[in-house]
Amino acid sequence: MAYAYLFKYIIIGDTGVGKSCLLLQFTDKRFQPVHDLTIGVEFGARMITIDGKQIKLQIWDTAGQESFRSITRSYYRGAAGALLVYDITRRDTFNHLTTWLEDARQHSNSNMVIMLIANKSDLESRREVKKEEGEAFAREHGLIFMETSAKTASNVEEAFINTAKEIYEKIQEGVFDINNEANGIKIGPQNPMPGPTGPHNAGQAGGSCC
Amino acid sequence: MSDEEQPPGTKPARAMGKEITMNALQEWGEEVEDGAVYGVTLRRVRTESPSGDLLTVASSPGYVHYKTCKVRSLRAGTLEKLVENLLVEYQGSDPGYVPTFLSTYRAFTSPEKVLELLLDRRLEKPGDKEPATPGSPIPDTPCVQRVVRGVLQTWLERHPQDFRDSPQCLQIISSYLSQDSRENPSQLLRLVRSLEDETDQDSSPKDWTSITRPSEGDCDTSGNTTCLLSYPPQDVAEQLTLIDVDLFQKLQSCHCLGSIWSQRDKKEHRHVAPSVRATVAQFNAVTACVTASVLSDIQMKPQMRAKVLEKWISIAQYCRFLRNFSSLRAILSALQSNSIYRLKRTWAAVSRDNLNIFHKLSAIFSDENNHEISREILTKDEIPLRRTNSARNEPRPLQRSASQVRSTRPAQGTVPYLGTFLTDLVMLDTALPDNVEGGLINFEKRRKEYEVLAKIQKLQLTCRHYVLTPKPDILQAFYTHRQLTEDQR
Repeated sequence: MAYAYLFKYIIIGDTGVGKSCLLLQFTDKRFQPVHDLTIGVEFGARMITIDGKQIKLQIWDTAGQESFRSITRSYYRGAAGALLVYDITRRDTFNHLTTWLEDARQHSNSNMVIMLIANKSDLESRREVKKEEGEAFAREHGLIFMETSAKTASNVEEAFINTAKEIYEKIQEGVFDINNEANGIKIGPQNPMPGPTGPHNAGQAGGSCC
Repeated sequence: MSDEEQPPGTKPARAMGKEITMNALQEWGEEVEDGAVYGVTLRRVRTESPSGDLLTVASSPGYVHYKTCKVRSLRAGTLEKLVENLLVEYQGSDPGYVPTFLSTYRAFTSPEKVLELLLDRRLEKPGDKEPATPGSPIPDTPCVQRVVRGVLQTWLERHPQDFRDSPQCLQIISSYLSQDSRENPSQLLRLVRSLEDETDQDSSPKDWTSITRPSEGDCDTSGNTTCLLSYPPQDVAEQLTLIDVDLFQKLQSCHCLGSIWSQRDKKEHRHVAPSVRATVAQFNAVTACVTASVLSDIQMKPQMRAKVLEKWISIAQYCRFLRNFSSLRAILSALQSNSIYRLKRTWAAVSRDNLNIFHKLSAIFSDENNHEISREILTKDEIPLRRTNSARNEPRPLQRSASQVRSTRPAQGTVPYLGTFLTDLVMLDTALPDNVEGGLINFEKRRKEYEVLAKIQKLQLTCRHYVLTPKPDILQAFYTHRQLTEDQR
């Protein structure tokens, strides 16, 4: 399907915070049978519209691979946006945010938009991390913040779309080098803008290699 | 349910208001009974000779006969039903049931509980002569006991680790068998005995791991990385593969299940999935080794650093020859990490040939189409790759290994990168509910999971084809280095 831009996202955070659940919810796969993951050509992808333009979001889920640190790290470089997720019912997942953030900042391009997601907002009775704490952390580190529930779908759309809006604005401001696919942005085939050129660095394995 | 014979070449015929197509399988519907939900499919099977029907034309030679069978498969049930179904499906019409159950039951129960339910029927009154009607418990007859023993044997053979983890289960089986005076010492009993002996001896680690794993404070503190890279790339790749093969063969596929693996960071689950953790630890040790060897010496000139990169590219290439996709990916992901990737002057000094190899190897792990290439390559039967004639100044391609690899063709060993499977399994676990209406265990979920586990198990079996000889000095160099990087953390 034709799109003006393709944005690549990565979802990161401790195990069990609901990363896969967010992805399934956003891509409308939550209540559909997962027939065969290995043939999921468009797995983890969805179209959205911003400013009247079709934008394709391609999302890398790192769930299950969190401990292979170099793998997550190798994904950062090709991502335009990151959803950094913690679980409001487990304080340790909040405490680990600094480590995740340092890792992300160190291994990504400097313009990557990071959205802090406080997930499982439906479990209010078991809450261990106050909303204000999340907000404060986000403010301090220059992140967008949102509380979501991947289970009830509350704010899930908004989380992905607001991140995309921020990336889109950065493109409009000319902050992103959209000709370098290593930034996690690709111009759609029908777009009149100049096509992306290959990365000029010798070390890159062509295109959006992981 | 009527079986139906059809003359050959008949177009889809109507039966029971549904169309019997030429498909081998057709969804029919669901049957619900107390504590269980079954999926019903109609299966067309070819029959050798028609079973005494009147269609004389149809029984002439040259005609193909089909029979339509109704096949039930358990979709959901109580734990009791699920265990009972092991007896129904042992050599039954749903051959996937027993392996699926045995590979996934740990997600919803313990081996002790399964064993208890499996053996419990002995306590039922043997006086009840009622034939097994659907829904009623399977009675205890000599025939059923034979099936119970069959299931136990399959369990012990396919999942011996379950019994190493729970030796009490072995005792239970042992005493169950001893009650059975009619049986001669069976294959089953021999299995139990050999596992018991093993637990007594506290299974000793492979000799090469015990020799080379460094003990505390036993580290030479300088120049270990250079030391590892001073060996021929092929030898290093072989030794990395030796370690990976050992870990992969020891991997318990049930540890990969989403419900088990994704709980690993919770306080009460600190010790779950040790066999997956060991694999991850080795993977990270390899990446750490690459990173350290490239970056630790700040004084190193770009040309020298480029040589180190080339060496690793060469090791990666040999890992590819050996179909060791775990260490291959570990090396590549380290080389692609931002800290190494951004060394532009170093990369500029890497030869074009080596860059080409690096790009080709990296393309294997492209995320396109949900990692299509790296998934498909695992099952590809391939002639061992000939090295491109480009890379000069490197040891001749696979002279020793080629003979080894060739001698094992067409059966080659493959070690996969485990992470893709782990993500698939986490995704399945997230997407599919554990229980369905009425609190029944959702066995369809376990079937989906088993599709992934079966791929892992199949690859594990291929690993017996590896013929690799331990080289203690190289292993030592690697482990010493590993110890150092762990200490620095």
